[in-house]
Amino acid sequence: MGGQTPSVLEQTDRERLAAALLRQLSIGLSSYRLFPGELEQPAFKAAVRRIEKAAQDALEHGPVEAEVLGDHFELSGGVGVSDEITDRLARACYDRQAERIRVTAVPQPADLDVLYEVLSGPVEEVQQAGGPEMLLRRAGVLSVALGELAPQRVDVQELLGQREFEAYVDRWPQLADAIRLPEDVASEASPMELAKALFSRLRAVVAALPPDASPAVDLFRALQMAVASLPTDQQHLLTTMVVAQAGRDSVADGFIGTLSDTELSRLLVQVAQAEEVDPVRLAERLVARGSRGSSLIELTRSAAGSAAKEDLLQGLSSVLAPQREADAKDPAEGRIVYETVSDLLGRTLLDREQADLETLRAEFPDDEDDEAAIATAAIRDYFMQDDDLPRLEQVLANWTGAVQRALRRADAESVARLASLLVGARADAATGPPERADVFARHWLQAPYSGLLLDVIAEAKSSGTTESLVNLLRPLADAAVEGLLETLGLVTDVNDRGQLFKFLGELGPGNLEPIVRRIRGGDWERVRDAVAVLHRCGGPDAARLLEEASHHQVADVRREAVRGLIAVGGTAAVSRLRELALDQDEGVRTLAVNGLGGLVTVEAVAALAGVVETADDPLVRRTALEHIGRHPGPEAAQALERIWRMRGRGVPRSLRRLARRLLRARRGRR
Amino acid sequence: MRPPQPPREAMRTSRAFLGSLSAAHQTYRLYPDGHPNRAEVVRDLHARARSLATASRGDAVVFCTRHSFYLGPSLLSRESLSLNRLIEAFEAIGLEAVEILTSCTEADIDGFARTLVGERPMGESLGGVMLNRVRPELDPEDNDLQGLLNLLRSYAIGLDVLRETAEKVVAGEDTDLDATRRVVSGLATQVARDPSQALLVSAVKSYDEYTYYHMMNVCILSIALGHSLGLRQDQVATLGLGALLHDVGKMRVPREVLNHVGPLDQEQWRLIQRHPVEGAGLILLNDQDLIDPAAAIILEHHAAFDLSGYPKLSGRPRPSLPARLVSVADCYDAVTAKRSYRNAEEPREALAILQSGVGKGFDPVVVRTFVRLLGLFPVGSLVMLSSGEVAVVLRNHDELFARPTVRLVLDASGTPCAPEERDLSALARDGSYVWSVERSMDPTELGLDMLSVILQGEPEDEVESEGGLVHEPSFGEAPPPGYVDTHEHPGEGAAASRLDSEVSAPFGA
Repeated sequence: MGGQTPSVLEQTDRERLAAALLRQLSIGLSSYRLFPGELEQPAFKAAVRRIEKAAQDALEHGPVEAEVLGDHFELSGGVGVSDEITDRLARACYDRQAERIRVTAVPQPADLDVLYEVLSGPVEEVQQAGGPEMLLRRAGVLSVALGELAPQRVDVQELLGQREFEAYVDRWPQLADAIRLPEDVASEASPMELAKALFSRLRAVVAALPPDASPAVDLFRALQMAVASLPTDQQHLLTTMVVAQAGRDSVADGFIGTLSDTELSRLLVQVAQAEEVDPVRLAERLVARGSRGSSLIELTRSAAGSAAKEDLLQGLSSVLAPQREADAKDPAEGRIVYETVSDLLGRTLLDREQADLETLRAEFPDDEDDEAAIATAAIRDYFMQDDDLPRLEQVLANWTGAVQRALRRADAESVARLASLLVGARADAATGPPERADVFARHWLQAPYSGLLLDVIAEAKSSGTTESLVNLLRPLADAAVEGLLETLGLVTDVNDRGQLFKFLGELGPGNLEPIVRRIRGGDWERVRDAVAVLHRCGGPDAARLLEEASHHQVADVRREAVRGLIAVGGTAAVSRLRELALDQDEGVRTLAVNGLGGLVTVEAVAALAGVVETADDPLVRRTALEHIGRHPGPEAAQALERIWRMRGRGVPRSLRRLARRLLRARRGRR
Repeated sequence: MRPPQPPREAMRTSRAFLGSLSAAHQTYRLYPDGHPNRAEVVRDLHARARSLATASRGDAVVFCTRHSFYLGPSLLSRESLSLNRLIEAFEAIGLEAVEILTSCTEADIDGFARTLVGERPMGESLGGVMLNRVRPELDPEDNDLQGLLNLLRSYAIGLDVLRETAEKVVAGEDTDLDATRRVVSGLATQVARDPSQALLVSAVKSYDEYTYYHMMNVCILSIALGHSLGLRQDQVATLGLGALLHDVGKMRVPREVLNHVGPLDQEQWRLIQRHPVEGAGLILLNDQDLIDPAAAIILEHHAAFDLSGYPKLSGRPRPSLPARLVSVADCYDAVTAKRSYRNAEEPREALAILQSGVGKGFDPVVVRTFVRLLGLFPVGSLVMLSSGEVAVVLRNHDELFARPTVRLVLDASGTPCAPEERDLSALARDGSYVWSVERSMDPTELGLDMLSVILQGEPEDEVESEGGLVHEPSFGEAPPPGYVDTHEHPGEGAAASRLDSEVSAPFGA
C-alpha cells in the first residue's frame, strides 16, 4: 500500500476479509464454549484452521480493527459488520467492556485459548481480574488485542462521538464553564439541589445560544463534551437528572437524543450503579416515555451483566408461576412483563438457533463410523461395569460371534474395533474376582479358534491376501497367538506350517503368554512347536524361555531350543550352548557346537576349547576344534596352541596334531 | 353441531367395561370352555355391562374403529392406548360395534367373549349383546383427527411392544429389537408429518404404567428434537431407538423395589441406579453386531453433561450427543409426570428445572434447542387466557413465544366448552392482540385428564389410580423421600460453569 489511501475496491475487499475473520473468530468462540479449554477437540481445531486462513487473508491488507458497538461491529472505515454470527462475538466483547478488537498477526491456538477464555468468563470475574485488555496482555497474547473501556476516558468519547459537533466543537470549554457550579455552592448544596441547579444551568446555556442552534445535533454533542469535563460528582448528578427528565424535557431529550442505544445503555448502567437502582427499570421508563425503542431494554440488560438478567428472569418465573399470589393481584401487568421477556427469550433463541443447530448437527453421528465410535466408547464402559456374570457370559458370546464374523469377512477394522472393547475390561477384570476374570479370558481366547483360523487362512490363500492376515489378527494379540498355535498343531504340510510360523513370529513378540503356557505344558510336540515359534519372536524374554526349554527331557524340544538359543541368545547363550554340546543327544550336541562355532566372540572360542578338552564325543571335539581353527580372532590361535601343547592332559594326540595343523594353516594364511 | 355426548358416568363405566372385557379376552384365550376362571370373568363382565347400560340411560354402544374405542361419538382415549390387544381382537373378527342392551345375560356375555376369541361365529344372535348392528359415523375429512389417531395407534403398539419386552426380560428370553425398530420407524414418520401433534401426544401420562408411557414419551420427544435439528431419517431412528429403550434396564429391577411404598434404602436405590448398565446389557445381549449406538444412549442417559452422574464414563469429556438429547427429554417427561411422592410439575417448571441443570446435568445447547422446540408454553400444556378461558397449547408460534395456538377446554366460568382453536398472535383492528395468555395452569389443579383434553378436545375427570413405579429422579427434579444421591457435584455452590453466564437463562430455576 505504501501509505497511500487504498482504492475503493481495495477498501471493499479489505472489509470483506476483515468481516470474514470476525465471523471465523465468532464461530471459534462458539466451538470453544462447547468444550472450554479443550484445544484438541476436533471442532475447535477445525475452527482454529479456519481462523488462521481468514487471518492470513485479512492481514494482507494490514491489521484488522473493529469497534464494538453493542451488538455489532464497525470496521475502521466506518462500515458496519452485523450478522447473527459476528453479532455473538460483538456481544461477548461488549458484555466484557471490550470496545474494540484488533488483530495484528495470525492468532495461534494458545492465543485463541486466552481470548476465548476471557470472552467466555463471567463478566464480573473478567473485570475483577483487570479487564480483557489486561488479561490478554498478561497472558502474552500479541496477535489479538481487546480494547478495554477506561471509564473516564470513554465517558468523554462515548458522549462526544467523533464527527458531529463542528459548529460547537470549539465552544465546549466555555459551555462547561457556564454549566459548572462554583465550588462553594457545590459544597453546601444537597445532591438533589445540586442536580437541579446543574440541570437549570444546562437549560440556561441552551436557551442562551442562538435560536437556530438549539435543535442541532452538534450543539448537544458539544454539551455532552462539556458535561464530560465537569467534576465527576457534578457530571454524574447532571447526567442522572437528564435521564430522569428524559421524555419530559426537550433539553434532556436533546441531550440523550444524540446518544446511540449502546451509548445510552452504558450511561444508564453508570447512573443506576451510582444511584443503586435497576438500570433496566431506567431503560424501561425511557421506552415507556417514548424516548427510545424497546431494544434499549435488552441492551441495558446486557450492559448491566448477569445480575440484572437473573432479576428479570426471576420476574418471569414469578409472573408465570400459577401458585404465586402476586399473579392473582395483577395478572395484566404480569402478562406484559412475560410477553416482553418471552419476546426477548424468543429473540435470543432465534439468534442462536442457527448456530445451535449447526453445532448439534455437526456433532451428531453422521455415519456408521461415527456411530461405532460412540457405541464403542459406551460398550467399553459397559464391560467395565457389568457384574452380572451370566449376562456378561451371553454378551461376551455375542462379542465372540461378532469377532468371528469379522474375521471371516477379513474386516480388519471391525476386528480392531471389537478387540478394543475388551482391552480395559480384561485388564480391570484381571484384578477383580477370579470368576469375572475367567469369563473375559475365556471368551477372548476363544474368539479366533483354530478351525476358524484354518478357514480364514485358506480363504486368504485362495484370494492371495495372506500378507494382510497379520494385520487382521494383530488386534487380538495373545488370543491370535493362541489360535495360531492351536492351528499349528492341526497342520502337517511343511509350507503351511512355515506360513503359520511366519505369522507367529510377527504376532508373538509382546504376546508370549500362550507360548510360555505351552513350553511349560506336557505334550512335547506342542512344546517343540512353541519353542520353534519362540525363537522366531526373539527378545530377552525369548532367550530366557529358550534356555528353560533347552532342559526339556525330549531331545526334539532341546534341538529346537538350541536353534533358538543360537538365533536369539547371542553371547549370553554361550555357556548354555557349551553345556548342550555335551548333551546326551547327538543332534543336540552337533547343533550346539555348530552354534558356538557361528559366534565370533572370545567367549565362544573359550567354550569351544572347553568342548575340545572335556567332551566324550570325538566328532564333537573335532568339530569344535575345526570351528576354533576358522575363528578369526587371535584368541583362537592362542587356544589352538594351548590345545597342541596339552600333552597327557586328556586331549588325544590326533586332536593335538589337528590343532597344530590348523595353527600352521592360520600362520601360513598370514 | 357436535353430536350429543354420553353422560360422564357412562364414560367411566365404559372404561371399566373395556378393562373387564380385556381381562375376559385374555382368560378365554388361556382357559378352555367350562373352566371356573371363565365363569368368574363372565360374572364380572356382566356386572360391568349392566352398569354401562344403566349409566347410558338406555342401550350403550361401544365402537371400535380407526384402531380406537369410542362410546357413541366420544373417543375412549386411554383405553385406545392401553388396550391395543383387545382392539386387535376386535379387528381380527371385523367387530366394529358392541351394543349392550339392558336385558343382557351372563350367557350373552359368555357368547360375546367366545366370539371374540373365535370360538363362535360372528353372525349368531346373542340376544342382549348386539354385534355390528349399527355402524360408527365419524367425519372422514378430519385429517387432524386421523393423524392423531394414527399417532395414537403407533403409541399403543409401542406400549404393547414395551410390555412384551418387559415380559421377555423378566422371563430371561431374547427381546425383539426389530419390533422396537419398527415402532420407532413408524413414530419417526408420523412425527416428521406433524411434530406439534406428536408433542401433543407426548403429554400423555400414565400413573400405573409409568415406565412404558415414559419410554414412549421420551422417544417421541427425542424424535421431535432430532427432527427439529434437521437430522436424517436414519439418524432420527437411531436416536429414537435409544430413547424408546432408555429405561429398559428398569425391567430388570425387582418389582418389589419398583413398587415399593415409602422410602427406599441405599441398596434399593443402588439397584435402581444400575438400570443404565442393565439396559445396555439387555441391548447388547440381543444385538448380534454388538456395536449399537442405542446401547450408548441407554448407558449414558444418566451420566450427566459434566459426568457427575452414573455410571462413570471413561475416556471422553461428555456423554455422547444422542444420550445428551435423550437425557433432556427424559428429565422433561419425568418431571411433568405425577409420582407417588409428588404432583406433576407444570411444563414451564420442567423447563426451568432443565435450565437450572445446564452445564451440570444438561448440555446448554441441547436445552436451548429443546426450549425452542417446546416453546414458553409447551405443546400440551394448559394455559389460562386473558378472557378467563382455559385452553390447551397446540402449536407454538415461530417467533412470538408467548403467543401459541391453543384449543379451548373450559370457558370463563370453568365449564367444558367447544374445542375452538385460537391463534393468540391474531391482532385486533387497533393492532392489539385479541387474546393473551394470562398464566400457565396445572391440569391436576383442575382435575383434568390431559389425554382426553388432547385427543378429544374435551375434558374428563382425571382417572384415579393407585400404586405407580418408583422413579429415579432426573437432574434437578425433586427426589422422593429417602433418595440417595450418588451424583458427584463438583464445584457445588460456586457459580455454574462458564457456559452458564453465556447461556441466557430462559427461565429462573
